[in-house]
Amino acid sequence: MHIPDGYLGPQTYVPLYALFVGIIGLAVKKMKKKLTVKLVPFLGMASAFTFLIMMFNVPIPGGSSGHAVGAAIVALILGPWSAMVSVSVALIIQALVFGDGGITAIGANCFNMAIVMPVVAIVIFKIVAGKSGNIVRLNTAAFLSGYISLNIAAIITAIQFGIQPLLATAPNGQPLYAPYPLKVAVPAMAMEHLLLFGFVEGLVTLLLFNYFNKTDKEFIYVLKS
Amino acid sequence: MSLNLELMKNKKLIIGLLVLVLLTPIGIYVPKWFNAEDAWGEWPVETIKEKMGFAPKGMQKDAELWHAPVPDYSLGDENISLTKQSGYYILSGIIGIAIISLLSFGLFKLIKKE
Repeated sequence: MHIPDGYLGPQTYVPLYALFVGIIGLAVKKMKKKLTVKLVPFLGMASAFTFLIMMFNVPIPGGSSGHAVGAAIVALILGPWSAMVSVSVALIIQALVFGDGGITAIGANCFNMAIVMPVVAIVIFKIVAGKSGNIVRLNTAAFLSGYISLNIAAIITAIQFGIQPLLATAPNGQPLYAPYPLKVAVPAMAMEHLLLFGFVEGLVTLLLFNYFNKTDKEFIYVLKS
Repeated sequence: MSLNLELMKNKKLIIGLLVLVLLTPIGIYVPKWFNAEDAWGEWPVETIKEKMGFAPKGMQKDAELWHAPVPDYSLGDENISLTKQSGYYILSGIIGIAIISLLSFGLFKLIKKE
């Protein structure tokens, strides 16, 4: 889901940069209010965790590969603002140091994986879990928050790819950037995430939620009222 | 309270992260076993050219915009052995964590001052 350089035209990546900078600015401000010396190591660990979990490529046999992002569980535990900041840090390092995701696409990639995912994850968790303390319901909520948030992020990424042929073409009609239309990009990205990668994100979210629910319950953001 | 003390309390989580670093080569081997390729929409321009029969002009221009110091989490070319790739992959994990730790430490110093 890391969009490389050259896939998005400036009509797409410039507004997404602006949107990302605006939201992350707000996130830093909000996070700062609650930031304590105690929280800093957790932010670092959350960032390191998402960085590492994205290295675990999962294959579709004979097809493409993908990975979990880890943004859902980070959001459930640390809350949306801290999650946005720590996942963004991981994504920016991936782009600058490892060329994973383009530098022109940092805004887009951070918007999709560091902004959209945490927000969707928390909303889904709250809807599914309600006020119930029932462990089965909480675990279902955790799984679905990972599964759905990754899928939404993937579909938004696919839409960004798919609108490129509509936005910019060469005089001979060939697309200038990502060449696949919406009707190819969206089903391709949606299918692989619905069928496989979403389950991986869901499982990662469920397992870690369960662990923290047992060891550090008071620490979990979505369980505080 | 010092950062060391904070980190000591979270020993289990830190050990967990270090174990993850050592396990990262799974992310190289498993896709190879299943004959899986790159992620959808993350192909190099040459692959797009093969698939589509042409290389989009803007893509060609922008694709080489940035030369990452450790491209694709590796320091060798594409033909190096899986063992070497795994070594570079683990090294990349360590580099990533090191940068994140430095940033966290900076933030820690900053807010302690305030």
